Amino acid sequence: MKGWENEGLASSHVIGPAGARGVGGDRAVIRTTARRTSVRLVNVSKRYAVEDGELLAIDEVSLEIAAGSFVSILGPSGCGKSTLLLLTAGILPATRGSIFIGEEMVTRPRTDVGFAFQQDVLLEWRRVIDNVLLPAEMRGLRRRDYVERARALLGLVGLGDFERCYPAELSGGMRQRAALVRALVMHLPLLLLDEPFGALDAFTRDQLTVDFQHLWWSLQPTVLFVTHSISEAVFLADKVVVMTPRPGQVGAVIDIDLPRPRRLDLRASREFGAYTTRLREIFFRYGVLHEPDYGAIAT
Amino acid sequence: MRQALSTLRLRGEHSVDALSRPSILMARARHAALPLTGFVGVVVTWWAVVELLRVPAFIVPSPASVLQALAERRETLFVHAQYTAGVVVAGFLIAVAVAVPLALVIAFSRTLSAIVYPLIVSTQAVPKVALAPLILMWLGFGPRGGVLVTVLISFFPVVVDTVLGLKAMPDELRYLALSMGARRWRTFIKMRVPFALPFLFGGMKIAITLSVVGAVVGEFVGSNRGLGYYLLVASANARTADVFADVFVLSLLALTLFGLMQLLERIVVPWPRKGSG
Repeated sequence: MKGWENEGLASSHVIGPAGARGVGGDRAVIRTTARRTSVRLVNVSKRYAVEDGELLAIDEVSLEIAAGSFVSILGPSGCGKSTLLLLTAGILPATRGSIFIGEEMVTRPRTDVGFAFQQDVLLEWRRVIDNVLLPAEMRGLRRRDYVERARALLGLVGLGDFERCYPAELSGGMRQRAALVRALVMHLPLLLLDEPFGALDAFTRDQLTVDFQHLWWSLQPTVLFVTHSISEAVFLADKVVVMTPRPGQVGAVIDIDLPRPRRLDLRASREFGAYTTRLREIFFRYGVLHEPDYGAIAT
Repeated sequence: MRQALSTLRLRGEHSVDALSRPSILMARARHAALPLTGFVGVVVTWWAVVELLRVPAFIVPSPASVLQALAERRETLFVHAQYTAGVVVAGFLIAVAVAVPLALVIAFSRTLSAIVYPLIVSTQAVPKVALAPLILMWLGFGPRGGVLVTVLISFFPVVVDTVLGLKAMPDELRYLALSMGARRWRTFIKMRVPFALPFLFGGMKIAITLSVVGAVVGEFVGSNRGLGYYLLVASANARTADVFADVFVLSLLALTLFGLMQLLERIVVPWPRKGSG
């Protein structure tokens, strides 16, 4: 088990002729044998101690996530979506139930998951390239083993010319791209993303969504993607998991059967609309959404 | 600046010609000229009021007589300034050396924080000027009493700001560090400390100016040297121009020390931050 963990962290990621450059060369650096893992949650509950007693954040959640699939976790604010990610990463202990990454039960913080959050939390005192290489540094690994992959990924997200910049010199969208590269640089089998595009303006958000789909397609890690945007959830995912309002339970699991690569205008299609309508109806049922009483104003 | 320009160019939002050399120089000149205008205005008004209203020199001397006093007493003032600067710097350094470990204890141990923090806050409720005679009784005439008053006045902002800084790291980064399997000391050195540094400098910039106040208060109460002492002697003899000259040198000392802190900050915390341009 230990060996499996170490292999992913220390092995060289460079495949293809040494010194290969240009777009083709970068691809060769990035694309390696797919590293992915399945995730399984079995009757997971989480209680928090709060001032006046206890708060049940997550109630009996069970999920099966296939290796290499993209799963969106969709739900209203405060339904325990973020908690679910922290439990999966082993950063918080579950109150009941168990979580498996691959065959291994999660009992302590996992070092084989990549994280990105709504806030990019880049370190302001490090240049972009040094931020992106932070995961290697914090693990006590040699930077130079990862520099080539870091550069290739930065190029792929359009930050090739900005690796020497400080985060404060970048726009919000560019900062979030750098944060995504930081999550990807170690070539980990599982990505946990907590509303990574939530703080961006609508155009930047759309662009990052398609770019990220492309990136995921080249790397194919298993992704757990938390969001409260119905269309974002559908657009990116193989499977949308709907969470109920607190306490968070799995309300529905919907398979998204749309061909990839998905283009932005897919969102105007009838098939796409059918999925979002179905999901919106679920949130109407939960009372998360409701129409105002128009008649009351007219009379 | 160079960096910012190159960023602009890369983003293609502005052409570099829009910020051509001469206009940058003009902007710099304005930047320097505007504060100077304020100072000149104050001095001119001061001079006009003294001349037109015929204010006696022992109440408010004219700028010219203050300049004259500065020139005539420059050696005396320099000797006293050296002494006061020594007390200020010693007091400030001790204050920082005491404050930073205290801040670490408060930030990382809830128990010790509950014991120590109220104590530190209460020391701030005690007016240090009132303590000065007591301190002098214990430590006697000479620099030691002055240094202690300085330490007592200036350590507090360093403690408060450093505690804030050590707690400034967002939770997400803690998660990130955990998911990277980082050891505690590595997270501390590579994340928590750099987050705290700008706060530490904020506290130290307040502390250095308070240190000048502390040193002068110490010299008021019991010293036979220093700018605070000289101020008392000059005003007791109604040598008001000398008092003004003394205050001028004191302000110069405070400004210089503050400038040095800013320089040090720029060296230790060189990265661009939000709102720092």
